[in-house]
Amino acid sequence: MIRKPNPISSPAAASGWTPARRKLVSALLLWHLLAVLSAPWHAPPPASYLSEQVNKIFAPYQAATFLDHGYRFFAPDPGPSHLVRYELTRDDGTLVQGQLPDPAANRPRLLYHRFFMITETMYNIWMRIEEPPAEAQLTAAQRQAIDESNAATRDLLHQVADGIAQQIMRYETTSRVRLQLVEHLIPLPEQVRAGRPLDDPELYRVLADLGEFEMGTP
Amino acid sequence: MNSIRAYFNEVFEASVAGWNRFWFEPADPATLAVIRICTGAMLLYTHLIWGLDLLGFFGADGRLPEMFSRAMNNSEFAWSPLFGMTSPTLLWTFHVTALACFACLMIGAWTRITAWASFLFAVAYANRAAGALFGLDQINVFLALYLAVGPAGDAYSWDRRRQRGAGRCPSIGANIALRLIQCHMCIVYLFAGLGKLLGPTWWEGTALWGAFANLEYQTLDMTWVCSHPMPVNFVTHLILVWEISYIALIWPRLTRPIMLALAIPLHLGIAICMGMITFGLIMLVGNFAFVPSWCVRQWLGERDVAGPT
Repeated sequence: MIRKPNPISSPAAASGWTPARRKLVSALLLWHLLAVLSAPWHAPPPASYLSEQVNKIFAPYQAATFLDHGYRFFAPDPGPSHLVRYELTRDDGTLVQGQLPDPAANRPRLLYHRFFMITETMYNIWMRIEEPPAEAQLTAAQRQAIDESNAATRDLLHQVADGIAQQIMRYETTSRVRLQLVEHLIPLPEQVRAGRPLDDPELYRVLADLGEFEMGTP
Repeated sequence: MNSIRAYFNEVFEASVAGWNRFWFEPADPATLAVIRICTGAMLLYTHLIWGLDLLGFFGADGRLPEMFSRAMNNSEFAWSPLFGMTSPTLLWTFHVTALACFACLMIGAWTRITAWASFLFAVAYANRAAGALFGLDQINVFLALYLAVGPAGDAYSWDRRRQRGAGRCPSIGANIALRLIQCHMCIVYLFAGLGKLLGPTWWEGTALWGAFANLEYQTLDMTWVCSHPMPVNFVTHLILVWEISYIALIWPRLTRPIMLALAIPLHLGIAICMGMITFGLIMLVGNFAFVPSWCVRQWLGERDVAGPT
């Protein structure tokens, strides 16, 4: 007669871990893996109500361990880039125009990517500003909710724009700088084949004037 | 009724046995040690770069105001001692300590302590720098976590050299750490692939063009592919199929080398053409968890290493 192995004890018995220890570690592993899985399942949108509710269980753990990521690299599509253009007048009267990220100034490449991610984050925040539908379609409460949400989003955008502006002013020795959020579109293959350069000025469009910032006054 | 019960008993017993085999069999720490060296080096480099403008990013009047970072994290559990750390002296002391810790992890010095400390330092920077992060930081942090979980200093380390005479020491901890990296990589690729299914350009086969023709990413001009739509379509579809099938095909012995071989041009392509050298390399480091330890030992010139069994 062939005896069936006891699955709880046999396969790892030689390892020296007691069944109780394995059960405890198994529970921890399950918790961790569910937390890792739950993060990209629920975000970024679209996401189901179920995934959002499940993720609430794991959210504190994910935040504390920096595991709350969607992993949607280059998804849904590799899209246009977003830059911040700045214009200032130095204390000596020279007009300076520049942009972030700047491959010539932001070296090495990882530093360039840090600036690039900040400008992309600014675009993602700007995208959250909601254009309210026509007056008649909204109740007063709905309009107020949209206004409050937009005000909070604009405030967030202003905070990071001011952070960038303060650093530019410090570097350029000036007390005033104007920022714009710019989108750089990607040309079609046939356009490039016909000779259109990737930096054709017509591929850049200003999305938002972020305003003028002064030294030390957020 | 009895046969149904027997079936579910068998399913349960087989699942438990499989779970135990997967997680609780001892593993040679050689692969984990190589991952430790590479991750330690990447953490060190990543944070050295923050140091080029430490106050500009994390200082009191830096580009990333504290309120902004907290709002981006959107959780009171996203902790960091860098919040509220406004003194330049304190910031630099913290930074130099972190760099020393990453260097220790890389060479495997006091690894049990420095691995946990490296993970905590990496989380501290990531939570404070919300808004300036990308995939590199995500992979850095979870690799650091798993290196802390397992005995990452049990091979090719300064710790090992101090304990001269000790032989190879397969351990369950090493296996758990490697398995966690493997599972996490599968989840990363699965969602990277599924996310792309929502994008028309991945279906049209033109997504690769979108990456190549993005001037802000470009470090190698690949726009000559505009005259070759078929190869662009093919590689776009191949990337999608590879990412989605990774979770299934990376495990079988026969398909694993193919999946790993495809990871190399994909991630080196991202590194060379799109200037994301650090991200491309750290993804390859994550993939290294699937390389058997006997391969590592043979490549490193160790004798008496048994091949696959």
